[in-house]
Amino acid sequence: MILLGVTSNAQLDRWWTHYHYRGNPDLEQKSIWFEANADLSSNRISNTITGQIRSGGKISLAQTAYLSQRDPAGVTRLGGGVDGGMWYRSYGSSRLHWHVGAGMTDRLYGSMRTGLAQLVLTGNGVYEDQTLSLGPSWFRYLSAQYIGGGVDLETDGLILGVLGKVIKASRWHEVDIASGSFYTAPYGTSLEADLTGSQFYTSSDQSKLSAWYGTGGSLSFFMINRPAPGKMLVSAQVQDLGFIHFGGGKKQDVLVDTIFTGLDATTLLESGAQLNAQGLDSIEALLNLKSTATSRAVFYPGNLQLDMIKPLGEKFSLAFQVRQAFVAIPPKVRLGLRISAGEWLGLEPYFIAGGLSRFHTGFTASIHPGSRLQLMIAYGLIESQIAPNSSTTQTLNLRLNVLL
Amino acid sequence: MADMHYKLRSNLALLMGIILVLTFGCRREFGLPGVENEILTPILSSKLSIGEIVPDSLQTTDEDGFVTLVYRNNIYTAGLGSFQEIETREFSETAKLQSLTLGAQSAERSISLGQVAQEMGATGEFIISQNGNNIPIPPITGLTHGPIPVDGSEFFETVTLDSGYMDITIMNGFPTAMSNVEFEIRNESDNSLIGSQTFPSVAAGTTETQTIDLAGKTIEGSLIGNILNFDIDGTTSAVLIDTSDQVIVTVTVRDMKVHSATAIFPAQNIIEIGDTSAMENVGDLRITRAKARSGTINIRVVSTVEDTMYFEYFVPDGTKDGEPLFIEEKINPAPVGGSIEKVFQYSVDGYEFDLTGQPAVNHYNAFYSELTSRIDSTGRVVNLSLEDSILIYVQLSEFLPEYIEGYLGHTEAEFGPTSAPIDLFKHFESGTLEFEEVGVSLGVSNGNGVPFDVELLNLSAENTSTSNEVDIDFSGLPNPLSILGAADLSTPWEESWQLQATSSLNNALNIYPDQLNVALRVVSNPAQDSNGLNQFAVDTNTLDAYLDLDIPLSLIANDLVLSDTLPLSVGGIERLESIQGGTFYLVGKNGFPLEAELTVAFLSPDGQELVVSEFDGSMPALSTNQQSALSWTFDKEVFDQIRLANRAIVKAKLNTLSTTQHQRIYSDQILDLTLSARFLYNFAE
Repeated sequence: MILLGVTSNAQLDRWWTHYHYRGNPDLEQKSIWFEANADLSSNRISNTITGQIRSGGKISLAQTAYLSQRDPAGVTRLGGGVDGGMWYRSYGSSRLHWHVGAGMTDRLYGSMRTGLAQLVLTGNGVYEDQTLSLGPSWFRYLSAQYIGGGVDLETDGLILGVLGKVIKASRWHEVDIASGSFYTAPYGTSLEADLTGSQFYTSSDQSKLSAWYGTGGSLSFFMINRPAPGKMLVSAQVQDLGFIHFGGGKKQDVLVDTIFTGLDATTLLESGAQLNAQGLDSIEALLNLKSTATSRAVFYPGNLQLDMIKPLGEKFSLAFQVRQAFVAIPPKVRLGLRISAGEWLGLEPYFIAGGLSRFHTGFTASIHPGSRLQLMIAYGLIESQIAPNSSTTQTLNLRLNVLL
Repeated sequence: MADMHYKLRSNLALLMGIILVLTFGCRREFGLPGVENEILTPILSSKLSIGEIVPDSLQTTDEDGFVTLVYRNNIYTAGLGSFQEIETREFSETAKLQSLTLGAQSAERSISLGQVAQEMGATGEFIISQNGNNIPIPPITGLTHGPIPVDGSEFFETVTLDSGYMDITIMNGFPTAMSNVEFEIRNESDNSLIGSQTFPSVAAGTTETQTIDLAGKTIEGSLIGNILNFDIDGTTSAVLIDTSDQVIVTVTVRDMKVHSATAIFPAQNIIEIGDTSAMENVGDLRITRAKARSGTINIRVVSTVEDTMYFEYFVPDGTKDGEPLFIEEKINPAPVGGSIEKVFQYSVDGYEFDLTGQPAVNHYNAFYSELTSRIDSTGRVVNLSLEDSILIYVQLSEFLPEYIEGYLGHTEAEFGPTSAPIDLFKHFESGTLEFEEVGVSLGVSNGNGVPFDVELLNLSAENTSTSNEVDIDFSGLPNPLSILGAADLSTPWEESWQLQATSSLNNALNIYPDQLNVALRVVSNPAQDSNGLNQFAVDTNTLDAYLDLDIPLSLIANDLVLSDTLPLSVGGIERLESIQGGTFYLVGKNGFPLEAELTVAFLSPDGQELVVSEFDGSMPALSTNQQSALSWTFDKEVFDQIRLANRAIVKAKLNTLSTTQHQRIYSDQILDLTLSARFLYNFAE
């Protein structure tokens, strides 16, 4: 159920990863799959900035200066979070194999007009006599835990399966800006802003572990062919089609349309009044927020994922993956080339394009001593370490498949 | 002001809100990163024409839009001295009990024929034995009867009279006439004789009355009557003997004027007076009518009367809302052998009094009132004496009129030299200013119906900062000025006189005076015609003298510095501490023929100059087609100083385009000016 994450339902990746990194298409043993992931991805926001966001540091004007060169009407995507899980798959004489698992996710993602990111990250001072687009933009934040189970049917040529999850959501926050713009006149002599948007969010009073503000479920379907050695493996997944119902939350509608030219000095002269701005009133009131308490159901934006593995002799294997989330985010394509470095080690440089990011490179090491253990480390921090100001994505992914 | 706050807050809130909603919003539980922002925002904006700079009430505009300042400066205001506290003399009335009366009281006793016969010996026994028979009655002399108790204690216990009468009435119910009836009446307690009378003859079946003069006598409620002698005349023929036949004696006390008494007194007025009292402290005023802004009627009562006293105070010509002034009060009985005193006070605020006296025949300063004092019939026996008295003192005091009519007095008074502030040039600090033309007139407005003479002794303009003082030539004015009375309270008498002294006026204005010095003599009722009682005045109407300045805005300014101090408080704006520096911009278009160089000095609460702005240039004159932008870059240290300020002195150094030709100001000339700022924000984590 992990939304848009690199490891979303990654346990279904156990077949192609086993084939890709070890060269063996068969998993004819009981197995336990562990996964953990942390990532921050964007197509515009640099790793330096997201690193500051992640760490709670300070974002300087120097770090955001490059944003002023971007088209305010463009789209900036941003997503990230942490998630993890553990799945057990049975294996016996029957062709049916059972899956049981549990996990969690804590994830933010969204898409906004670049003008909004520019306004937030740099202020309006560098956009003199320019109009910044603020919408359409949207953001989602989810923190949830789940338990799940399923079954797969293994035939001679195919593995077909279905998984179901019961989800407890402890946080949900969604923001939608239908439209908006912000114009700054030369020398800042006037500001013009309009914004139409809304947000819905649940309470955050309780800890994430104990909070239960929403309940939902999802279904995943998968199909994997069982190729002959050296042939292409194709894995197709439809992940996490479902919904969460939030029993109570707060919905706020925002409507701003204003032109501000400063305090009226004429009135000052007439009244002799003093320039005395008190503390800001509540943001809700000033933004013309209309708040209502309501409940609502949220569709799960699942994924469609297709993986193709083609061994290239003994030494190499080519992995191609395409994933399309059922939200307004471009498809993500991943291409990796595994190089066998011995009986127990496979090394894979990979390249990702699309999705929340423009492109992203990383390096995967699969360590599989013996026949029962496979540890895969996808290290996507190279860009952020080498060129944090020009790269936009950082990921770290751990997977462990234990064959019993 | 509230609207300005709202706009500022709205703007900041918009930025903050977007940031918060979108940054905080989705990351409500994440720590916020610190962000450096560059915020460019307007702070102040204005489109100032002369209409905004100078209130409409201080300017006129001709058909070409040329503006003239019209400024009125009051130099003298005074109400009438007549509105001072005035009083009436205190008048008193002493009431004695001789005006008390007691009502007539009667007691009745009867004597039967049987009772008399019992005292007649054998003859009497014969008569008794013939009861019911007809026999002749023989003459019998020297009979007596008594004592006969007469009880009047129900009405009085004892009373000593200055005058009064006791009537003894005998109704003869016997079948025979009586003669030589000698009757006396005595007080029972000491058997003292009150009086006696003889009835020569009382025919059978008739009534006879004799009167005893009670003057100077003391009678008691318990009396004894004695018939000292009476004769039965007898009958010549037989008459029916009925032993129950009666002689009825009635004792009536009447027309009593009491000296002292222990009695039940009937309700009666003790005092009934009407008094016309002269107003005091009125000088030569002749007031025929006055309405009280404030005042008090004081009534002080001293009584030795052992009964409750009631009194009524009535001013028939003192009314409020159509109702005359009427006061009712009472004072409790005095203790035995002592007295009781009580003071009553009543406000007469708002009452209007006719002060022509009663009856109103060409009187003035006369206050007429009526006082009535009485006792009521309580049914109780009380002790009153001629020595008892009731003293009532009445006074109208602290009377402060708000409206008066009559002759309002002749007074002469000199005022000044005194100063009247003039704020037309309060923002002028230095430099020179030359108006092409200046007109000044002296005006007087009299709101009361009293004539005055006003003699102008001195008139000058002064700048107290520079100690420059210039006399204004008023020699062209009539002196004294004759001020007539107003036609009525809402129509003041007004007149103005133009001063023909342009050069001295220009000189006076060019020192930027902050006050006018004036000395004058004011004489009310200069003709002293005190026979005219038709003058009027109200304390809210005044005699005002003022200077009217008419200044067409055609001028030459040379380094003319205007300054104004504005209260400033930015402490309440949130996150100002996050500002690391920035730039202030003055952006605008100047339609006035004046080049303006602006500076702002920020002052600490103790008046210390913290920061002075350093804008790089001046706003050129007549630059409506070209926007000018002046900038002032500041760092955090400077801005932190600004944050400490609570006042700002804004100075504008003005120069006309020409220093030889007067420049004209028109109503459509506009200074379109905006103060904006580029703030470098460092939002902390």
